[in-house]
Amino acid sequence: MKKTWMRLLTTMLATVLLLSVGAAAWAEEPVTFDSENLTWKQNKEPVTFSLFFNMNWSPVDVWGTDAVSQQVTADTGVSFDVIMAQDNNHLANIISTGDYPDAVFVYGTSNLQMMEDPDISYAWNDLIDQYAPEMWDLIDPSDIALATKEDGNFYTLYTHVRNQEYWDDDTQGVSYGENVLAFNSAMMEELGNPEINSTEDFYNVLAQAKEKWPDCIPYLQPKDNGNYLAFTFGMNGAGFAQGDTTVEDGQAIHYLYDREAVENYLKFMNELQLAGLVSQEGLTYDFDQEKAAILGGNVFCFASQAYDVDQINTALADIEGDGRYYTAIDHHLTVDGELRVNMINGVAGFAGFYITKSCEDPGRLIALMEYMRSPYADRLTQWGVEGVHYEMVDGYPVQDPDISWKERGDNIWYFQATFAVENAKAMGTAITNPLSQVADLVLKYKQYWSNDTALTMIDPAPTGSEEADIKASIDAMREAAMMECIMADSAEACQARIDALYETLEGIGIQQYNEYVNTQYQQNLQIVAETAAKQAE
Amino acid sequence: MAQNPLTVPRGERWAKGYRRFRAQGVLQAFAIAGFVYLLIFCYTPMLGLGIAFRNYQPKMGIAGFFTAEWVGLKHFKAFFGDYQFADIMTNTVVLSLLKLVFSFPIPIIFALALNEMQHPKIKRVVQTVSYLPHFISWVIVYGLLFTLFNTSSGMVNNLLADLGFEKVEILTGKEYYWTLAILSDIWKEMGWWSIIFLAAISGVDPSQYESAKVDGATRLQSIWHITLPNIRSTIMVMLILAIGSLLSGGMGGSNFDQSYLLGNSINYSKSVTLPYYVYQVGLSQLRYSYAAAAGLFQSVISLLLVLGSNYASKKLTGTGFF
Amino acid sequence: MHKAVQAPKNKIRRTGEDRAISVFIFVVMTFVFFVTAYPFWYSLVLSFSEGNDALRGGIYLWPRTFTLANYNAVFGISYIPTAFLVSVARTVLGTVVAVLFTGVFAYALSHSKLMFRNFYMTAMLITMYFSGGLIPFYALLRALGLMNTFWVYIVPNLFSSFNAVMMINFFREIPDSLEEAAHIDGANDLTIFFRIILPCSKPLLATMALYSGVWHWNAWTDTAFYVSDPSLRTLSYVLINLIKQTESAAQTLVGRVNVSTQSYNSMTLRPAAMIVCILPIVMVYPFLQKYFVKGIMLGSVKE
Repeated sequence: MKKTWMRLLTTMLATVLLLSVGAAAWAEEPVTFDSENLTWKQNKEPVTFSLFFNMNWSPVDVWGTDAVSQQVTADTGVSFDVIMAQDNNHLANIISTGDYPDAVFVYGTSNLQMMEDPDISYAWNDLIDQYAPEMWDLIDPSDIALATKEDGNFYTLYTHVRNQEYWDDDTQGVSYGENVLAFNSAMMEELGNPEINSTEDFYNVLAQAKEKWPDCIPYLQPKDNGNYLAFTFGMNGAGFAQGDTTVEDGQAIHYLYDREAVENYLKFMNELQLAGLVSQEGLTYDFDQEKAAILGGNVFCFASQAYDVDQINTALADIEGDGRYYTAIDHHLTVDGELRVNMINGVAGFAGFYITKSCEDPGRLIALMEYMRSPYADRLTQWGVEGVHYEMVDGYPVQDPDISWKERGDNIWYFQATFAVENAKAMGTAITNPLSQVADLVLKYKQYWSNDTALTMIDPAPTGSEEADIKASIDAMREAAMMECIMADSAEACQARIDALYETLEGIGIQQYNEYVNTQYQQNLQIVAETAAKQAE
Repeated sequence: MAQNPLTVPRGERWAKGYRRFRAQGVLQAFAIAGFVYLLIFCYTPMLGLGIAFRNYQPKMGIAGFFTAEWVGLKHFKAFFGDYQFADIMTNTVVLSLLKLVFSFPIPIIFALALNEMQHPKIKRVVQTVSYLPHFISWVIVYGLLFTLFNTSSGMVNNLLADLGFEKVEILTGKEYYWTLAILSDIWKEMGWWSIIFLAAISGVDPSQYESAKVDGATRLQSIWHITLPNIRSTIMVMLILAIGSLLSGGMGGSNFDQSYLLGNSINYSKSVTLPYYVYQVGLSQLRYSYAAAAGLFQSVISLLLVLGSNYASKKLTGTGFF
Repeated sequence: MHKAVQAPKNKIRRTGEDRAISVFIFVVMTFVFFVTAYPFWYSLVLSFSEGNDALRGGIYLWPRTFTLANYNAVFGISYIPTAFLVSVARTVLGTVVAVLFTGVFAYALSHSKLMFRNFYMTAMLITMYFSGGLIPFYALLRALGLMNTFWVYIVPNLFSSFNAVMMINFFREIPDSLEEAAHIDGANDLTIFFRIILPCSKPLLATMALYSGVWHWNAWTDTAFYVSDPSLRTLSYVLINLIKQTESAAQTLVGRVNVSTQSYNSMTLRPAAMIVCILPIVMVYPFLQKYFVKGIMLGSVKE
């Protein structure tokens, strides 16, 4: 009797084992965005969540009036009651009352920091494990590493991440917002189209322009996004995309600490100012004012973003009888014979979508994120509906100009947007514009960039810490202080002011800040190496 | 026989007080209504001032007002010790005093001048148009100034160039900011604040003017000896209030907007004022406790200014608002 | 008889100094008129101008490229008719209630014999300069249940310290004899306030109503922070929102890509919004202006 039972038991066990192995082999089919068993496809019941949203360039502040949000609801059943941010502090006010909305979609370092808190938001890794485990196969591990905090959790996956894969892809260029210089073509022709390869060449051509046309503005450099020259001198981190830190000799530092680059840049600007070659007022301009100066005045050379050069040329073409055209330079200049440009990508991403602890149905929202990560949703939320809002031309989307942004709703609800898709739309505007230069420029400038994942992983100092205070003090004084150096009455005065600037920085505590970012950087280098080793296995 | 108050038994004094209170019953009710409002809407939120002495983070919620870590004067020290603090205070005080000296008398003079106008229709039109700038936001004002004064296509600079002069960097030159700020402040608020003075002037008994005319007084003398003394209390009250708002830039509180819009990195040392600086370094960086400390400092100074000027006003002119 | 003898003397005096003053005032007022009217005219011109064209500059007296795009954008704001009604309702109700509430308080404090007067004054004075900031106020409104209701526009604004100070000052000037006479006739303070004081204070009330009304009409930060229901938005809020959005879109790269076919920008939109907002005020103002007339108090005190 005992033997029979034992044999029965063994057979049963063997069968169970065989079946489970069989089942596992069955489930071994790879998960893709088109798979039928994705969590978001299982439940499309209508549901509404509250959403806090701070992108105030959005022409709509309610969900459901534009085509994109309507399509998302049609696909997933999810709708939102939107609370639009009124100013920087709105999110902080809401958090302080403890009355969180279900979801928060924000950009801005301090806002991201505020939300990445286990008391406020759910950790996505927990949610994925619990509600949508197949999602692990759909996410690039480097995106996860980028968003992971010290406690090992990640509370969101950032939008517009430019990871190593992106940088290695030769068909992808740099951002369409790359800082460039543009010269008035007609005026350049009259000067004989001199080659501009070095800063000395640049200075000379400006001087020639001023001599020939005394009423013109030789060089217009605006307040924001006029950093071409700064980058030429080796300043990195000076622009939005670099996050204020840079790497020098393997150490992470605040970008101002790279004294050689900063000093040479300020001295060069001072020379330009003393010779009357750069517009003093122009140094305070925002983009609209710069546009006004170019459209209404006589500007020889200006600094701006690559996409804006096309915009300005288009606006000029609209003015009857004007005929001006500005050609952007497609390379960086040498300084004293050497190329010092060294732009390192140091920013983790742009915005984050957070699921707060107030949310009663977080599973639904993490499923929505799964939907959002698909290339289909990426294109929908950044381009619109194919055939209705855009047509594909040469692999880029070309939008119908008669449909307004308010009706389309793109670049608003792009909760898991990728950078490549956003860039593609800007390239799409270039395809139909024969005067466009941006598509060419973004490829040409790529050679000056490198990616440093460890740098992008650095977390900003928590609010209230000494390092955060130091950074705040530096941010408050640097623009005016650097302007003082540029406006100095003589080269000696300029040097004196630069020395004073660095004394002040030391006094504020820039060394302490450097140590803080560098400690993180060294740790991150290790993590990156470990992740790479694991992936190689 | 009059009773010495000190020897009157306390019970009787209370009774007397109570009777007096009841006699003023209606008035007391009025006053208490306002007081209750102040308690609810002003004093209850004032408890939040405590965060100036703590390390407060928004996520601590309301409870955080009472439980956040106590750090005493740390934020105040950071505020005063900031290396820009002395420059900013000096800039703010000097600019605001200049605004007070030049801007304050103008609405009064304007109201007096309006009052002297003979044609009622023209007077009405001028008065209506005069306060329109109050409604034009500072952003539009800056836009207009930019259009007029910019060095690339601005009318003023083009005119200078045509006449053979060099272009002037009005919008960025340090030496021009204070003048621009004061003049634009006068332009913007003169008409609006003159309204309260017009109201005061219209309350003056006309028979006083007639008897003065009979005595042979000129118009100027009428203004000096009749109108002004009659509106003296209004002038003093407005002056005290203006001094109280000194740090914000006078009655219109223009310091912040002007620093934000007309100020830029080139004229920074002359354009930065305290309210703007607090915003730059405090609130916009979400440093709530720091901003609260700076705000508390400004409040204390403003209150002292009000009390001081009220006292001086009482001594010099006999009226104040206290 | 007396006056006839005086007439020639007056006439002579008039020609000299009085003419000089009249001329001076005329010159000054003309200057004031142009300096304050031109920027408004300029805004009007801009509001009918096309965006990029306005940026070029050189527009001073007349639009170069006439367009209605800016006004279309303004009137195309969703909920704008509701917003207008909400603003009107809040301004009318808020002003009346505030002037009365502040007025009775000020009337009480204008009596120097009022018990605890200094206490009330000090209490008010402190609140004029000390504020706890936005977060506690936010919490208070939530606790009172005012968030996202129409009453959040009215209740927190019942009292204005500035207006109170002005009113106390004005009420103090009213002769005590008026009040005493009424007391003797048996009136209580409430009746006195409504039947005697208020009618005597028309210029003051007009001014307070104007200051308070304009504040309500232009207020938008309360909508921004305390109201999320779109049908409770005020006119100034929706206008400012449109402007902020337009400007924001112009300043960010992703915004610029999406609005490249728009024919207005913040430079031309702002004046259009401002004019839409100002027009009702300018239309209502003449009704208040008649109170700033000389001798309005004439006839009330018969000594």
